[in-house]
This record gives sequence, structure tokens and C-alpha cells, in this order.
Amino acid sequence: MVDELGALNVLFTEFYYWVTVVFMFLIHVGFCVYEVGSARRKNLQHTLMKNIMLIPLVTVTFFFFGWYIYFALPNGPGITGGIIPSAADVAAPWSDAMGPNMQDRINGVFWAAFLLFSWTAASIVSGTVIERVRLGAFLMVAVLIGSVTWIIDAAWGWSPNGWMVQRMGYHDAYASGVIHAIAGGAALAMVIVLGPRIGKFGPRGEVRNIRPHNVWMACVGLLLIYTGFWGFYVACNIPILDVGGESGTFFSSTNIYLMPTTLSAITFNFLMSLSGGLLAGFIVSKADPFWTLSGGLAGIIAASAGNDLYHPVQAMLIGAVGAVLAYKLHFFVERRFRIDDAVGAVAVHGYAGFFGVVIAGFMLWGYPAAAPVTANAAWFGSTSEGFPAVNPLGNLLGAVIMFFVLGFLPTYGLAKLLDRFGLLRVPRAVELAGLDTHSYGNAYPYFQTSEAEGGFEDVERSAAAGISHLVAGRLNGAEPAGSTSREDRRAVK
Amino acid sequence: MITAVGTGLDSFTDPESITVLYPFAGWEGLFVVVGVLLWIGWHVRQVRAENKEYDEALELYERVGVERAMHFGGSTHLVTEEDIEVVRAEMAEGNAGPGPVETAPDSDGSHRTAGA
Repeated sequence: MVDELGALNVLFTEFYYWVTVVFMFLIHVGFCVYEVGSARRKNLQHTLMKNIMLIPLVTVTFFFFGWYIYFALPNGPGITGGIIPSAADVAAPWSDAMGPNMQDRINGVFWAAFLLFSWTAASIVSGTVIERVRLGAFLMVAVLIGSVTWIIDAAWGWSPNGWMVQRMGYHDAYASGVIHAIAGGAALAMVIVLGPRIGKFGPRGEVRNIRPHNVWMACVGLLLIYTGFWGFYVACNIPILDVGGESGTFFSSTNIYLMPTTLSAITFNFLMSLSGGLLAGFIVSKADPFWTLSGGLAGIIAASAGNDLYHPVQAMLIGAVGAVLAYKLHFFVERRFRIDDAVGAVAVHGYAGFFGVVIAGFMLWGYPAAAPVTANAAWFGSTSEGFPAVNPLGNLLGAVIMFFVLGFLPTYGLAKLLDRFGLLRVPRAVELAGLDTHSYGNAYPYFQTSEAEGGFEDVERSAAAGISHLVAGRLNGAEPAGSTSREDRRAVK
Repeated sequence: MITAVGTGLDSFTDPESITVLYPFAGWEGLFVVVGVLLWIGWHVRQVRAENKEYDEALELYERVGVERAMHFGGSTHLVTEEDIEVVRAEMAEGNAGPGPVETAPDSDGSHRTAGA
């Protein structure tokens, strides 16, 4: 780099992504705080370690193959072409670009930005399955989501050359579907196979509320997630790019599809969609702190697909609808299908994310999705200049691909496989005693309390009185559906 | 002058010509193989350790009763290693049977089980 202006551009871009990575670390701090706050005292350290250990495992696997997938699979393969051979030069783990290199200053920070998205995708699932999943099982699922499935969807729908963008006009600038719907779908698959926590549903199907051990801690966690989410938005942009085209040179920020936007635009819309979600969440939840803040998160997620282009009031309204949808659907699904999503992540990320992708297809109908690889090759319409056009059908199908095809199905398959070997869920007696009890001990050794866990003492006592682990499953109407551990199966035999 | 043995670069005087900075360039494939084996080995080790941990926990809970384990480590009171050791000692002496043994309420109104 001998040209000073060119060097400044490169070094600024390198620094820009580095800063976003540090900000995004707060997402994970927030998830840790939020999930630990949401767990009962007997499960705190297990919950924490589950979220912590996904960091190294997703990181190393994202180095080994996740980053390669992003560059290799935009064509499917088999939809718009094959595996892209040049991906190996940039992103194969043995490539000299995957390490300190004086001729490449962007690959490492760009890899890290995507990696932090990977942690987030895996961490969304983490909260849903607290208090009964095995650590080892969850970490395998985390690798699947963080280093395989989400990055496939990024290659398909979050790259200017991705087949979903080029053929379907898919638009999802800040990842309503690409991160949140896929993680929500995966979380739903996990809780279906895993089953509810012991005592969550009564013998007549009534839903029992298992309260967080520390509500304000869970809320502070959500505030930290907001903070990191802001960094995430910035990381989704390219800071300086010539977008002038035939009209001449014009430098701007762009979204991930290399279409113009500004940092101001996403700052307006991030805050307005957050506000819409908070306002609606406050009302619909009757001022419940946990669900008010979850409503704020659902608000951002719902507007994220189009927050590069929306008017701030549009972002606010979409955020409000997203928050109401998440809240209502969470409790409807819980009641109707007896699905125990411990922190509401399927709703806040999955349903709000799905809605966000769908609504963006309507709101941004006809906008250019990305520069065309082949002009006028889009299935659902092109702009007058031959660019694939954003459209409702493309985004609806895209939402289904994110939530169900890449989110739900692969995770369901792996969860069923782990369940088959009895490796998905902890033994019933361990769940009742608490996942910390034998492994870690008391998380609050200097506190003596007598209150029941979320009003649950009677239920758990009766369950415990009804079993030794030798007769697992006879819990007097509080039998958990779902996965059974290898230890419990062995005991029954 | 003796030229030092090197693992990579020996000069930064022409930065434009420098590519990789790390030592042992050319062996990246081997680094990756070692890393992948460690990653897979970590998962295998974790599953084994977890199975062992739960076998031990269930052995203890079977002896003291699940409800009692809850008193020590579950809903009512959280367990400490000392608590468990007390139960083990009681079991060894034949003093404690399965199920909780309530004592008088503590000063805060809570109940502690015998041995806590």
C-alpha cells in the first residue's frame, strides 16, 4: 500500500470491522446474562457454560469450514452453478489468506464479523433449551447451526451473488431471516425433540409459569443484546464503496448486497423499530419487564430485513407488529402444542424474523436486490435495468427456506440422532435435583432461601417422590414428554 | 557472521514483498489436520465425561433419594460439596434413609435438611 488515500480506505475498513466485532461481543455477553437470569438457581452454571463453550467450538469450526462454505456455495450448488473453486483461495483453512498476511487486511476482520453472527445464531437456540439439555449435545447442535446451516443460508441469501438474491430477489439486509428465522426454526426443532421441562405442563395440560430466578438480570441481558445488535447492524454494511456505476464515481456505505444505504439510515431505523417493539411489548404484556424488553428485540428483528431502506415510522410500526406477534404466538403455541420454549426465543427470533422477511417483500417490492450476475434472470421479476427485484413471493419463499428448510430440518435430524442414543437430555433425577447440583454445587453459597423455585416446589416434590431414577417417567401427571436419557432408559430396562 | 536458523521471515525491510507473517508457512494443511482432530476429540471427551458425571450423580441420588437430593441441591436448598459429603458419611454410618429429614426452621424461616 503505497498510495496514502487507498491505504487509508483499506486501513479504515479493517478498523471498522474490528470495532463491530468488539461491539458484537456484547450480544454474547447479553445472552449469557439473559439466560442465566432466566434459569432457576439450581441450573445457573450449567446454563452459563453452555453458552460460553459454544464460543470456542463455533469459532474453530467456523475457521475450519464455515467461512469456506460462505464463499463456495452461493450457487447452491446446483441451482445457479457449482461450487466456486476460488473460495479455497480465500477461505479454506489452509489458505495463506486465513492468517496474518501483509497483502490481506480484510479477511480476518470480515471472518470475525461473520463469526460473531455465528455465535448469535447458536446462542439463540441455547436459551430455548435451558434446564434439561445435555451440554455435549447442545454443543454439537451449536456447531451445526453456527458453522454449517446459517452460513449456507448466508451464502444463498446474504451475498450479492447468492442464488436466492439473484433468482428470487430475496432481501434481508440485517438478517431477520438469515440469522433470526433460521435460529428460531432450529430452536423449535430442538424443543420439540427435547420435550418440556418437568412440571411445565400439569396433568390436565395446564401451563405452569416457571419464573426466571432474576428478572432484572435477564432484562439487563436483553439491554446488552440491544447494544451488540447495534454493532451487528454496522457490521452488515460495507463502509466505503463506489456505487456510482455508469453515472460516475459516488462513494457510499452499502448493505451486504452492495446496494447503497447509509449509517444514518440504519441508526434511525434501529432505534425506531426498537421503540416500536418496546411500546407494543409494554402494552401487550401488561408491562411485564421480561416481555417488554423481549418485545423491543422482536421489534428490531421484525424490521431488520428492510431497515436499510424503510422510513423510520415504517420501521417503528413493523417493529410494533413484530412484538405483538411474537408475544401472542409464543403463548398460543405453548398452550396449544405444549411446547416449552424457556425464554421465548422461537417467538422473538423465529416468528418475528419470519414476519420481518415477509413484510419486507411487500414494503420493498420492485427495489433492486443486487447487481445481476445475469441480467433479467430473476424468477419473480426484474427492474427496468435488469436487476433482480425484491418481491413478496421471493421473500415469502425465502422465509420458509430460512425457518424450515435450513433452520428446522437439519437441527431436527441431529436432535433425533442424539435422542436415539439417549444423549440429548439429562436424566430426570438430575433435572429435578438441578443441573448444577452434582457437577458444580451451589451458585450462591452464602444465600439461604426458602422460596420454591417459581412456585414449583410442590410439583417437583411430588415428581421426586414418585421416582427414583430407576422408575423414571412415573411423575404423577407431570411426566415430561420428549427425549429420555440413556441413563433413564438403562434404568427402565 | 553466523546466519540464524529461522522458522519464517528474517527481514521486514521490504514490506511490499511480504505475504504471510506466521512461522512454518507451507505446513498449514498439517495445522488444520491437528486442529480438526482436537476439535472432534473434544466432543468425544465431553460426551464421555458427561456420561460418567451423570452415572455418579444418579448413584448418589439413588442412595439418598431424589427428593433429598433436591433439598440439598434442587429447589429448596442448593447443594455444596460439604453437604454431599455429610450425606455420604451418614449413609456410610447407616443413619440416613431416603427422603428428606426436616429440622426446625432456620432464622429466616427456611427449612434445612438434616446434615446441612
